[in-house]
Amino acid sequence: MRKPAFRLTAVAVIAVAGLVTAGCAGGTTGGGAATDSALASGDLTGLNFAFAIPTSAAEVYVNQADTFVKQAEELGATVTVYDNAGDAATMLSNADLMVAAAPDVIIEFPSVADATTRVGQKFTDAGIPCIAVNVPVEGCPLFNFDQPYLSGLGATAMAEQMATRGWDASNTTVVIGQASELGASVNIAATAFYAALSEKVPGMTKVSSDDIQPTTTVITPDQGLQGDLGLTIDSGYDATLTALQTIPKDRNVVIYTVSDDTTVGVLRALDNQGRTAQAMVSGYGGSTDALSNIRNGDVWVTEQMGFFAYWGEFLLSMAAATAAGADIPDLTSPPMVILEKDNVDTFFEPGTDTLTEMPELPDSSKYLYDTGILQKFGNIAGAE
Amino acid sequence: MTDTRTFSLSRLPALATVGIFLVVVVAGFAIFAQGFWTPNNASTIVITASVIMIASLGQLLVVISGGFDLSIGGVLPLTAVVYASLTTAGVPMLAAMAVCLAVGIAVGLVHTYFIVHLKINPLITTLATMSITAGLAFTLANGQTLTVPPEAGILGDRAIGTIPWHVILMIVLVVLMHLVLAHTLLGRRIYMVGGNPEAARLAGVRVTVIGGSVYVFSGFFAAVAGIVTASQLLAASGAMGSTITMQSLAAVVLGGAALTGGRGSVPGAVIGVLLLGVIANGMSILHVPSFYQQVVTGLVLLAAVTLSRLQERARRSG
Repeated sequence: MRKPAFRLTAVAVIAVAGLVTAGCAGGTTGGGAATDSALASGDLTGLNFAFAIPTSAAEVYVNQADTFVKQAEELGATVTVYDNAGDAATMLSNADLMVAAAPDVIIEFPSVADATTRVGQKFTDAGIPCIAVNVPVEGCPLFNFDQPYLSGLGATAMAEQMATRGWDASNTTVVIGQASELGASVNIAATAFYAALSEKVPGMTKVSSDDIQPTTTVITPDQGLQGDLGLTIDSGYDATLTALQTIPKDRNVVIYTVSDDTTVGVLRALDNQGRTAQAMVSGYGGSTDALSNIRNGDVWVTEQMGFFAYWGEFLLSMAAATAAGADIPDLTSPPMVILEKDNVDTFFEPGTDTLTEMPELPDSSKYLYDTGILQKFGNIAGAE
Repeated sequence: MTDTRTFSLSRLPALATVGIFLVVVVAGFAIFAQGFWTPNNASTIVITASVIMIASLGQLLVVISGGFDLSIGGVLPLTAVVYASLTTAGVPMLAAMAVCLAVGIAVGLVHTYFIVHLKINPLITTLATMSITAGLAFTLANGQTLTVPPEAGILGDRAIGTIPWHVILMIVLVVLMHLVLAHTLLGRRIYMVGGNPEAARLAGVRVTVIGGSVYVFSGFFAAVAGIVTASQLLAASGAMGSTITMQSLAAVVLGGAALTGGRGSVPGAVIGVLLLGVIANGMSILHVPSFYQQVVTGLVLLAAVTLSRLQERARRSG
């Protein structure tokens, strides 16, 4: 007689634990709207935002959401965060939940491109203003890197580093790593980098970004390869180990990735194969690992930096402008820069990953200064 | 008297068939993929296959006993994150390893309770624990990538040439598990429980103890795989090992293990892991796009399982 009772108790305990966990993880909500005059002073009291992040499984997105919530709350707004969990079904479900909650602005950071059309329709049908982040969503102005521009900066910096070491097409193979799960809107960073680099490095066969398709593996024999390095440390490690087998040991290697986690895996693979002395890598994102390696090493030499972790304040400004009915351009971009050994401490406190000041916003994004929000944080040039 | 019987694939042991297939695939890549047939690339294949091999050892035991373990994909990142957290906090490497192994064994004991004692389907149970352990990994890491101090990454350091210590560890574990399965009473009983649990019970085998022990082994091996991954990469995150469950299942099935239980072997699992590793490596060297690689890997798995089933049918009818 004791066993069934015990089992029922166990089931009840598990169920309650699940509910408590869900309760603890729940977000905050709020309502109301701020006045336009309040917006101009950077006061967001009464505004309510919904923010859907791609997945809580990656450091960068979690950091970004945390920063966004913290900054919004400092200015008086409330935020409910939704986790798109890396799949289209959850993204659709979250879109319904966000519409039902009727926030002042929805900020949608898609996990995958698949569901963006349907999700955009839901927001439009509900009449709720929206902002798409990183991946276009139908009917929502986009906040994103200007990928070709940033990749062009990255290629210029890498070409200069290659010239300093005497590397050119005759002795160097360039590998660009895509993350197939992210789709074209992100992977264009890699193809645009290669295209721009091919314009600048002596002897490289010039190719355009459009010539490099997702299924392209050999861009130019001996000179350029594209591989699926994924988004994680282990995928970057495994793919690089194999890719190195196809590159003769007497050639230098330049490897470009779209994620710092991947770059960490690439570094470990280069080390395993004893090829760090003949390699340079470029990362993306500005993680702690990236800053440390750029300062202290000679392999991770450039970092495409769009201050991703600080997008919260730009999204907040864009959301405030949207809520106030401002005219929002199709693409709003963050400040962008290439980090290298000689400039990393311009933007971060020496030896740390603490931000001192971001460079100015690009021209198309300068309307964000007008909301008065960026001035509150004092960490970006041009907002004095 | 001369044997006038003609050669038939059905007369070959399933293991030999997959082994021949592996040899053919290796020969094909050696001919057509420049850079494939080199000692360095061989070591690359073994290095990348090492973590899958270790995880597959646990999966193999569970499959032979008639179950399967989906939680490997959660235990691996959880133990990797635990290892990174502890070693960063200054806990000695061996103590951190012991804690990680204890975590893996604890998950195995949870499986034992739910699957063996409460008779809950292993698919549901291990799916649930995969979700729990993966969630815990992300929670513990706070969604971030944790670093492992270099001095705690000895298993990832080179031992011989480019071969790291974790490959040596993997070989030792493979040999040990082969001896356990093929030459010990425990091994024979695992086969008995998987082949026919009722007959095993009537023969005096403690089915619940044997059925539960395989999940403990599986948790242990998943934890070893987590420690190795963290050591190999000097980093850990909740996103690690997302494909390890499917890879380990595919490898043991390719190696002749039956999902119905009672059949499978360590040499078979080794061949299965190597086959998957060789195909992935060879196609990458041939610059086959990753999308097609997934298709080819799926087709190979389907072909191997179909061939195995046809052989079994032919043996029964002949």
